[in-house]
Amino acid sequence: MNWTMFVQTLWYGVADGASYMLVASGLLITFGILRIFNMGYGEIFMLGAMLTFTLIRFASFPLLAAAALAVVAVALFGILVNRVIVQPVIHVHEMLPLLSTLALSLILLNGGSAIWTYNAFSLGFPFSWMIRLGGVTFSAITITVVVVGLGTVIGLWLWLSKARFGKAMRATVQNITGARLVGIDTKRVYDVTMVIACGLAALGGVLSALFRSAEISMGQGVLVIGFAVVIAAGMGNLLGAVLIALIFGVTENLVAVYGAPLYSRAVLYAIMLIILVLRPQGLFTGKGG
Amino acid sequence: MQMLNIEGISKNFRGLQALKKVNIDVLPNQVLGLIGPNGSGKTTLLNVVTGFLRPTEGIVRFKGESITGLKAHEVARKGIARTFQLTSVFPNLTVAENIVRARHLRSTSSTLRSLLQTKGYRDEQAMIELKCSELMDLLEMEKKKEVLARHLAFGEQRKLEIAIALATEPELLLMDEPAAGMNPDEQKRLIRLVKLIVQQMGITVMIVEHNMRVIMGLCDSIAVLDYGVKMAEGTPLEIAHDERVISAYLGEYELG
Amino acid sequence: MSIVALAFLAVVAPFGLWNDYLRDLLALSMIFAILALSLNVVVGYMGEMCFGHQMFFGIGAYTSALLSIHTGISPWLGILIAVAGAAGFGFLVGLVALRAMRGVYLAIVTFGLGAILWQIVFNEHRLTGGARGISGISRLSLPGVVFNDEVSLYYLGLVFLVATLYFFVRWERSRFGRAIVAVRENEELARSVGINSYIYLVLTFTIAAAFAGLAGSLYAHFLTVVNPYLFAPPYLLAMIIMVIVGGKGTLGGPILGAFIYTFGLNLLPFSKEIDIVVFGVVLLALILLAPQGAYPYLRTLATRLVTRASRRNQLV
Repeated sequence: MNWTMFVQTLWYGVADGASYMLVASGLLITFGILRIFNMGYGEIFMLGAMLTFTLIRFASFPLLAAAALAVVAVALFGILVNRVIVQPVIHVHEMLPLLSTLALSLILLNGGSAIWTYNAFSLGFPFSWMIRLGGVTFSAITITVVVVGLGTVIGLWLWLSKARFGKAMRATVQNITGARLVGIDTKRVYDVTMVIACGLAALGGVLSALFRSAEISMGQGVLVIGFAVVIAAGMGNLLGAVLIALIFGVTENLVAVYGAPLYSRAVLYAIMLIILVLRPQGLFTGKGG
Repeated sequence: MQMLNIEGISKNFRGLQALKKVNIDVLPNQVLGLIGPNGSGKTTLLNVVTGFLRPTEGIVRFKGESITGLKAHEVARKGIARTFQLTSVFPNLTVAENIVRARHLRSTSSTLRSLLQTKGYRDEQAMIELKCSELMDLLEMEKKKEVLARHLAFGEQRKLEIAIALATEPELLLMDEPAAGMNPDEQKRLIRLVKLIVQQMGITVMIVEHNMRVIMGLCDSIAVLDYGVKMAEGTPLEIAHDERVISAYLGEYELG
Repeated sequence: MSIVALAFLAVVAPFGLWNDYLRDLLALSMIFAILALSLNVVVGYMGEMCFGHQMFFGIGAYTSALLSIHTGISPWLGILIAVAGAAGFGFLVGLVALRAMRGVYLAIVTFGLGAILWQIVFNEHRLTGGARGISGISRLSLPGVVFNDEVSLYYLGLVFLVATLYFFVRWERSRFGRAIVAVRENEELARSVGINSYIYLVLTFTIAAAFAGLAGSLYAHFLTVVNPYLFAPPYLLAMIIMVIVGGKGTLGGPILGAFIYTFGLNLLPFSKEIDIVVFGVVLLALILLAPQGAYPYLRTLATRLVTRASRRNQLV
């Protein structure tokens, strides 16, 4: 058994998992607070990456500035999404937000492919050093991706537990009427939630593009992670979401290397379905994060 | 023979004991009232009897036959109907369509027959419509039969609920706080209606209520639940004079 | 009266169109109408959303395709088997999924299943022809007529559509149809009057899958080629658009939606991607402005216009 390859694959899985973590957290708070599942989330993930690429290639921005600007822009786009696509239908029928976000996903995906075509683009990275431990390579890119991903999630967790607004968000998850009664402005909570969620997705897209590449279809497989998080992690369990993201990243890579690469996505879906069938209440029930 | 035997029924919800070894008997053609403060387990007991919940232990017998653990639709098939605490109707269907749905058990045409529109199917359709008309007349809802259920006034929705339950032609009817939100006039009419159901249709009734006027006006026998335990049982007169009941509960209720 | 007019229109429709391409679309609309009606069963009668419904369409199409290529059995029998296959699969899915899941969770699970199937069909070259799909599927024929041109295909499709409509009209009024509507309206109450909600939900889901399979099977024999993209999300979107645009819960709505989609998508002058963007925007607008769908909206509009017209007459 080739340990080097195994550990290397694991590490790649962690790198993928880093961007997935952001997606998972974003969807967790979207589902927890807004009670909707954003079908367009994968495309927002993609948008972060594509915008960054555009700024680098056509406006000659340096990587950091481009990424920062793209993430902020997409995050603010979240307000638009919330006001136009989510809020108007959220109380009419619980299924409508699913459909309207599905429409959004359509628009972004196809509109995007008309703008950017189906090619894959590299974002480039200014540092090319790497660390070698026993034959396993830890490149600067992967280390950056993992650090940024983990750091962001930890930051999110801290904010939700300590910051005033973060606590307000958690209160809204648990009891919206009660939250309103104690003076929490739930409308603002919704806006902020979408902003944060979209920002997280966009950052996730940038990280994924750094590690792999930026292309239109990169958001397609991301939804399944969101599904799994929503279903298996229960509500409000950030740690569970992070773990699931890591499991997905690692499994995807392991299956790609040791199993059938064509089926890596399908295996993920299958795992999720099995979880759902066996334990509809979720794998980790209980509070945390 | 008793209509309903509730023997030693207990129900636990993850550590919370909602019912503890409850024993209640209901005789045919009588009205049994079930009272007790909020949270005493009255609705839980109804849910156990009608198959919406499984008891942790104990047996429920209907006309001598055990119905413990049967699912809700199977319980209905045995001849037990119920109304719900929060008004329960089919909102986007008309009054007539609501009642027709309740005839499900009493109509037997398979889908194939309805696809082919056989004579048997058409005869049965006519029967269904007849029964529905009868019920609507009984409840004075004839004029509203084309109105959507969700457009009905509250009191009428309540009546519709009862009509739906009666349409299944039950032998036992369980009612969960039917008088909630009713004014004194409506309460009087409810009492008259239930009496009619018992006397003319031969149905046995078990009624969960907070409203003491309705309880006292209707019931042959009353059982009192407190924290999931049956603490008293007897005639209305006995219950009204039972010191434990008076001190703990009747003080809470408005007498009407 | 209006039924007679509609029937007349339906019969002469192909001759009112001025080229083969439009007639082709007309024939295709018939198939998509059946497909839209099948999703409507889930959305309108069960009150649920199946985000993987295209997999039944694909199963029907591929079953017919494979039977046609590998065996010599009559395509009509092939249709029957394809429908049975789709129905059987739908039954299994419903059996497992509907036990504990509704709403969002059900949508997610069916989405996941659809995605898995899409991957499998796309990747399994030997079995399904992979990305290239299967071609050379036989045409349907009856003694004396081979269904290989737009007009005959249209009439064949029309016959199936009418049969489907007949089924749904009668089914709605049957004990079964009544029961499932009751479950949709208030599942608890339905159970309390003796309706076994689980069984009815599963069987209804099976019926929906069966009709989607029928549409798929007809598709295979109409176009003589199938490809794995039948299992892909765009087809799901197509169905949803048809049901939403047309209006759910009615029978006319999905049919209208199918027409709008088929003609709209193929006649818009833009590239395929922009077309879908347009549809996405239209879908969004509809969801926001007329959540009941175009068909009920138009119906209400028509009623209002008629009443206003008659009132004007009275005043004069």
